[in-house]
Amino acid sequence: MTGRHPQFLWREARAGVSQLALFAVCVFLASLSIAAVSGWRHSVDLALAEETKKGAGGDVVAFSTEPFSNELLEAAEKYPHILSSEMFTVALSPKSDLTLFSKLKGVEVGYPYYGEVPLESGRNIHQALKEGLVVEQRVLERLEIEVGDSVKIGSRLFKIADMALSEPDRPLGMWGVSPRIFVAFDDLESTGLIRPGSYLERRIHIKLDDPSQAGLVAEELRQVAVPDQERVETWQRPPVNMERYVENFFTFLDMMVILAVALGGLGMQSTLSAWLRSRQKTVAVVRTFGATSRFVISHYSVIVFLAALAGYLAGLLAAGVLLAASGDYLSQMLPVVVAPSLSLYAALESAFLCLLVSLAFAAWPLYQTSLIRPAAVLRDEESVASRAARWKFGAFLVSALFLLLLFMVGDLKKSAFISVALLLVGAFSGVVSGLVVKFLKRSRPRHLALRTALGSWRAPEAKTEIVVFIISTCLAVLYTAVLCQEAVKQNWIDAMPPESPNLFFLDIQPHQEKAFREKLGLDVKLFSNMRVRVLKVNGEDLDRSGKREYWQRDGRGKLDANPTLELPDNDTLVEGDTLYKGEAPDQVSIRRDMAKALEVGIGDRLTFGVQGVPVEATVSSVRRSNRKGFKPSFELLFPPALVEGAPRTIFGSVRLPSEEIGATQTRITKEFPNVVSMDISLTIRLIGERLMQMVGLVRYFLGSGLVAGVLILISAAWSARRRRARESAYYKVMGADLGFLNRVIWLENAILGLTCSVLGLGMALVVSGLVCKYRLDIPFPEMGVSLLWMLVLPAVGVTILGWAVGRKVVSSRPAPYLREG
Amino acid sequence: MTSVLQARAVWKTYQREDAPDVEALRGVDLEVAAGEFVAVTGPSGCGKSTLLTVLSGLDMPTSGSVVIAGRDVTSSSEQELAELRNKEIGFVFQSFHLVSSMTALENVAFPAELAGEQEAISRAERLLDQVGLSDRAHSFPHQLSGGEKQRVALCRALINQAKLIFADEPTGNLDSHNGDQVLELLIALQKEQGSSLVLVSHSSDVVARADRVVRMKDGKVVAD
Repeated sequence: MTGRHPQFLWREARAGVSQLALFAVCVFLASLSIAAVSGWRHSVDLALAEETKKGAGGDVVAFSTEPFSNELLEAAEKYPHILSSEMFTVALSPKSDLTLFSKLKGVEVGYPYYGEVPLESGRNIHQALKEGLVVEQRVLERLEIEVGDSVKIGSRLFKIADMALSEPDRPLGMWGVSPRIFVAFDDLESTGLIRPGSYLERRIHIKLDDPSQAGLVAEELRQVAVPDQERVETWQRPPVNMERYVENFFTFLDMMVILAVALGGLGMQSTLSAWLRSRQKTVAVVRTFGATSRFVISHYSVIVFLAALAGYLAGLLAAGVLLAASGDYLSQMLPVVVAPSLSLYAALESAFLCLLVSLAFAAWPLYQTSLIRPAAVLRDEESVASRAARWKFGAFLVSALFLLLLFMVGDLKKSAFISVALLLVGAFSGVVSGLVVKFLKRSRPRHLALRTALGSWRAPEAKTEIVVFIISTCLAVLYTAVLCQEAVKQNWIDAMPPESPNLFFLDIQPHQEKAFREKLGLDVKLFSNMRVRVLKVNGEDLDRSGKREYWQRDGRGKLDANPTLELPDNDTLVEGDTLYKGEAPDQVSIRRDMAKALEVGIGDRLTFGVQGVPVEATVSSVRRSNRKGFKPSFELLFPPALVEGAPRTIFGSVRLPSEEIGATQTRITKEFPNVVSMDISLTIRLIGERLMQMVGLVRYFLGSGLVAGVLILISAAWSARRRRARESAYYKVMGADLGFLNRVIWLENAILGLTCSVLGLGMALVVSGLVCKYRLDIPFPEMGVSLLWMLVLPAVGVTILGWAVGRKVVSSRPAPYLREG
Repeated sequence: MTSVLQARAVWKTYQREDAPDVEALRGVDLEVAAGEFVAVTGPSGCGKSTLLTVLSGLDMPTSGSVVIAGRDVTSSSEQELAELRNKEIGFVFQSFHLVSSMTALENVAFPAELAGEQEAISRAERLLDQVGLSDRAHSFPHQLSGGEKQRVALCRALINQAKLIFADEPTGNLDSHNGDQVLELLIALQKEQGSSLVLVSHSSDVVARADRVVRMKDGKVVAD
């Protein structure tokens, strides 16, 4: 038999329309996930590139928190450039007597090189800055003032000259929490805010006639920049923290998508196998009449391709809707304004990846169908593939998934890492769920209905192992995310127990300490803080060749140090019996994470750079901070004698009723204009919202994985209908009534649902417990009755679904099934 | 002699779409006495198997009445029918119809367990021993030969000491050796328990062993 037989195709597709529909839904889910993430990534890349150029505010930008060195300033002189500086401050309105924590930016004439700062009046920003300040709308609203009113910044009163409608070099969303105030660069000094130790980010923005030379010019400036203090970047690269966040965000999404697609793929394979198994007799008959394996495989492949195409197109359409609707949601989580849409690139990429995934998972059932022999007309026989074929198809499937990952992540090393991580998750979940299902299948409880229900799991069509694996894996990952989010929320956001501070005071000068305490009139604990760098470990220069974005985590960036003789409340010693040994001044106590990063312990000798002065100290103890609440945590503690006279700032924190925060801020700002008071409750709420959004994304992607599990459950129930009806007939013949059969169905699905729930929740508890203890270093959250819901809800869902699909079958009359051979 | 089964004017009509109705049974009358072995025979399509399913309450007649052990099958509820099948009737089918997910022992014990019998397992073990299958008790149906499957089915039919056993071509799927063995066992166990046996068969050898032979043609009893 050669050529295509459309009628045969049509009849076969109709004969398995329900299973094919489930297969198409699995493809739809994969297509939706891939296209959505692809569309998001493409849109974010474009927005980030645009934002980066504007955000840098020049072709080459130099950064420093210390005054720029003469060498760097001289090198920059050769090119057109402007200066800008940013710092946190508190603005005070004499009119309303309100204060506002805000970000002050001093800019020179010429700013911004790229983009513009449109003002409400329509004039140029520098015209307005000659008259006073330019502020964004939030400043006016929160201080309850208007353009023309005055505000006090530091020790100087300024007139509000205009309102800015937008700002080109300002990240948005959670990166732009504090409202903006612009001031002329030359007026910055007159605020009196720039004091020793004040945190001020200084920038030199350079504009080149030929922007393509940015790399060369940046390299030239780097040659003269002070190492570890002055940083030079080009516009081609987004800010390190922004780039790293976006990269992490998409790596996280990629992992979720791959997991969802892999689980959905099992759904594709399972539904397709069920359909093709139901066609076994037909295939055997056409083989009897001379059809070749090629005929079989080509015809069924066409049907599979058309079903996959329908699923892909529906997924693409849904992705388009999702992308269009997700702009605000995504912009809140990312440092750029994104208007996602389904680009041609994303559509083509998802088409390729979807085809790859569908092919990878459909290949094995199709191949097995081609092995059906004509003898299957006479008797049921399993088509047995060779061991070599199994290995080949297995290797093909793994390669296809790796290729999918590589395509999405775009980095071989990271893809390999994620593959290993996902394989470990899958293997762990597979082994645990496999063992539990095997145990339950082998168990022979005394209760007859229970034993009969477990017996139904043994039928090959039941697909119990795969259903339990998929649902419990999805639940495990989902619950892990929920539990970790809850742990962070409880410990860092909701924690705020009565003793936790909610108002921080920064940049208190040492000579203001006494007066500040008196003015505040509260029992405030003040901390001295110095920003220091580790220069040498045991006499060897610290290696800073690694990626700059990891410096802070690796102890190579600036560390917070506190001169004190007391162990902070939140800290406990993990190495060493006392904070310091004896009274020698050259000692340092180091926090555990930094000790690990620097690979140092008690007795190691460290050399620090404190405001350019090298200071040596021996590690005397290692501490861990429990990080509960918003209490300060210092990486380093020094005996005060070691760093006496070194520049430092003082900060303090208090807990106040929310209604008293505003008045206290005003009182302090009036008396100490340089002191920044920060109400962190707003920031905490914002972080909480972002965390919820991230968990929302996990829910979305793993939700599609769960749907795949549910589809397999339905598919398995459908393909087992005939067997189940026949078995029900046998039970009836032996005297079972409808009540007994219904009990069996309920129990079978209840045990299935409960097994998935228990496994999913159990694995999540183990993993999230480990993450909380070893990664986040916070106590495990108290979940209370929520854990019970997490256990019960999926179990009830699976029970109801399984019963709904299976209930009709048991009520059919037995006679027709007994006539079957 | 007391009768365990009385069928009066039983009709069974199958309605079909776009085709004339099929009258599978046309006014059948039949009575089976306690302990009697009745063979029902006749050409293919004459209604033998339909008669068996209707007499056993697995299917309802279109008209007429069927009384088993004093209970009218046609007016019984599903619950009553289930109880009747469990306690008073045993079935043996040509295709064995064993539950594939249960072992031989579990298949045999199931009706007794359903009846709440505490000794179900030991009784099932004894029966399997009687038919020479004690070493196959923990095998699943797919691990058994045809003859073994049918012996398991015999044990299952007899475990609740049914008053009436219906057997539909019990040797039809077996070779002559296994067929003879199964028939011997069936008759021996039936006699031992004092059950009545209604057996449908084409085989003249089987029919020759019966106490009484009922011949059917075109849905009617033509000779009794």
